[in-house]
Amino acid sequence: MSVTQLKSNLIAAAESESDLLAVLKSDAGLYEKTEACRKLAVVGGKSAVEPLIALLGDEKLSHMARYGLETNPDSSVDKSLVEALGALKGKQLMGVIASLGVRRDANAVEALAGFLKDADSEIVQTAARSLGRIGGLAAIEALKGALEGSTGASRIAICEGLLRCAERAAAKGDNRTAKGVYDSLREVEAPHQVRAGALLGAIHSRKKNGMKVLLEALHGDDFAMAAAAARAAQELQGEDVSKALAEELPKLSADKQVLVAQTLGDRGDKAGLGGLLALARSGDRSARLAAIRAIPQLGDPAAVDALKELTKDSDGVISRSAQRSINALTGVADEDSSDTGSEG
Amino acid sequence: MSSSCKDQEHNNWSKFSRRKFLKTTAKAGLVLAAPTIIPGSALGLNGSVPPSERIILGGIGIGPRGTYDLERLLESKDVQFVAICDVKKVKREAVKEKVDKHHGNSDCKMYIDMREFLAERTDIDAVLIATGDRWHAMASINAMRAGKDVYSEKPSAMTIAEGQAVVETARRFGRVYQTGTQRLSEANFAFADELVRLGRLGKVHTVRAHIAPWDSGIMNHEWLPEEPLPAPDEVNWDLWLGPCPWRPYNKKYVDGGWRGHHDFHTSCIGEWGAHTFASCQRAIGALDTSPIKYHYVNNSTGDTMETVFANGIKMVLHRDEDKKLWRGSCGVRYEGDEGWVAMADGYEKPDVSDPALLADFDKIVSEYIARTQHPMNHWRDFLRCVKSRRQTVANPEVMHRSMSTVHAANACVWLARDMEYDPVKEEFVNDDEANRLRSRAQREPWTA
Repeated sequence: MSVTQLKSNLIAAAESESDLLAVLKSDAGLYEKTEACRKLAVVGGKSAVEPLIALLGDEKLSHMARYGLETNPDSSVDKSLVEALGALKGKQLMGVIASLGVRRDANAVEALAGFLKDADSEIVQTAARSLGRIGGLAAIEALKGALEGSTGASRIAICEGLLRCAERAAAKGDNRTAKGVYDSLREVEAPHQVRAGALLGAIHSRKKNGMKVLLEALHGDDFAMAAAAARAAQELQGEDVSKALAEELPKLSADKQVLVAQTLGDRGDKAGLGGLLALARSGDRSARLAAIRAIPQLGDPAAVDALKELTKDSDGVISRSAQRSINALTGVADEDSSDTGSEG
Repeated sequence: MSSSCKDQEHNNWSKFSRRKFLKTTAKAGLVLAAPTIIPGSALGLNGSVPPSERIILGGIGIGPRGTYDLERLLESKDVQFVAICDVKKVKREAVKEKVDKHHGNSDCKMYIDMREFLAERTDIDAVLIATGDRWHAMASINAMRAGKDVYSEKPSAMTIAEGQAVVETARRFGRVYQTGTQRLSEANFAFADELVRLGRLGKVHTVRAHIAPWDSGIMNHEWLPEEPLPAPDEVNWDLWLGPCPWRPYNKKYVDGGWRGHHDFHTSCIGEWGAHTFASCQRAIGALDTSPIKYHYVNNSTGDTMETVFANGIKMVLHRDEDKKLWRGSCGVRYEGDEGWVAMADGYEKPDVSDPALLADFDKIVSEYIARTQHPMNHWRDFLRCVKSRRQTVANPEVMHRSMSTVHAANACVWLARDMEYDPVKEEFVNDDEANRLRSRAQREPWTA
């Protein structure tokens, strides 16, 4: 194959696999071999595996070899990648660990678990995420074992691996395993984003029983978890959820009232109206405004009379917001829709 | 101190109420300098910003477009920008100068490597990402892993797999994400979309989406001639390439000449399709799906490519070089059996088949805002959602589904044949080669 052909812009299978493999085996330059790998990502089959595996240790072509291998449907790719692990180090090793995760090779779990205590944090992180992509009980056990004593970015990646395992389990209908992983992550010392993810998963994996966990988080001392609970509440189905949230409104701090009021608005069912109207009438100004703004999202004309009372409020911002909400409920155009300022 | 230890410290802080904090500092004779709004991170609240607190912002890769975004974000009084990460020195310094001038201090810190930036700045709540296309998804994923909320410029994913990874990461860590398809937050576009949703055009059968009239759909695979590498502090070429395949340095790439190259760009289709497909898909209620059919047209740009959604509605791609459909950029046109509406940048009001359709313009936009609580300000929508934890108007799923349409249309051009796509399985039907274009191996260590 000529270089001119290889420079063809089309990715299409214009060149045969054998032509591309001939380029790899030739003394062609880096550009030509790079492009051959790229095209093998689309057309390469069983016969492309060995020549590409042979390039994994090549500092300049290792990535492109994986580029050609990751999408190759032949099952020999997985076995060959696992076998290559022992001969590689540094970035080339990291790349192969990542590719095994992308291919979700369950047979690679044992080999990948061996890298969870590696001295190189980036190797640990990549292995943890790959194990998470693969999922399964063996991956979960390996990741849990590695969590103890882990620190910094490695610890976050191990937690991410576990979160991924839980997602895989839930996607397969195994809520019990998912719930177990999420609950275990709620107990460990971890950054806020891991705790938030674990809480979200713990709520969703419990299905209808998740509301108890949600309300506990909403009332807890950790605002980040209260915010995550509000996010979960936006995704839970059923008017009983709105009713329960509305009942909690008077018991919450102003910042949390704002979160829940906005959540009730997004949920959009009328079960939240009573709680929002009560909040709109009295309390912290920001919380009242959030409630007034959320009310039109429920689309219930029954709220208009109560809002009319609020247009008489001595606070001009409250009265104007109430009028805007009435306008929204009654189909009257608003004068200003840009809303560029800060809240409340 | 490890990040986990830092977080434990923050946990303890979060048990320390804001009032108590203020009382203690006052007793100690400390003067709280303006602004009087306490950043959430100072209270150990990072990971969520209470509605009464300030949002601490950082940036990754901010050039001309990012500067525009930054200016819009800084219009909000509750935003403080504290750090910039950029592989180009000239851009780092330009952003620092701008931000320091805005805040009246010299506090904006500069970083080259996003790993250091994200690991060190646990005080930052949200990150503006405005790199070239090649980095949008990977930088977003890294930022969300580090617990940040993300505003990312478009096109926000190089492949279908990258889009999936952004969706999964945001969901996994409970992060707020907005892609920079700001027309979703502009009154004219919202109005046009609402006309369809409200049935004012009758039964809509066709929507038309503008694609960039200057680029090609066929991507360049050639390397520019090798030039001497600049000092890593001036331009860090390895970090600039990020997850993309290595190639030799050439200044043109880093000066904006990356467009049109397969590794770095999503073609003329992605350039504007990121905007116009999202608008079209919102109008017809298809933000959770993508077209199922893509008809190949024998040209190199995708011009007049017809795509079909599962509900039978067609979306047609147009370069519209002779400006027959639109008088501005990023146009959309929706056609129903009772009327049509067309819209592009620079319009005072949308073009409509019947002037009566415009009679309710203000009312319809007001109702849209009240119903969705998404303001006509894309950046403000993001900041509001950082506080409320709600989904933004251009959330990860919106980005992923509209970008999946871009990627499928690109595959149709590249493989020069009709395609069928299953948006539930997220795979092409009976087309192994197209399916192998759904992902690209990322260069280590930048793996999702």
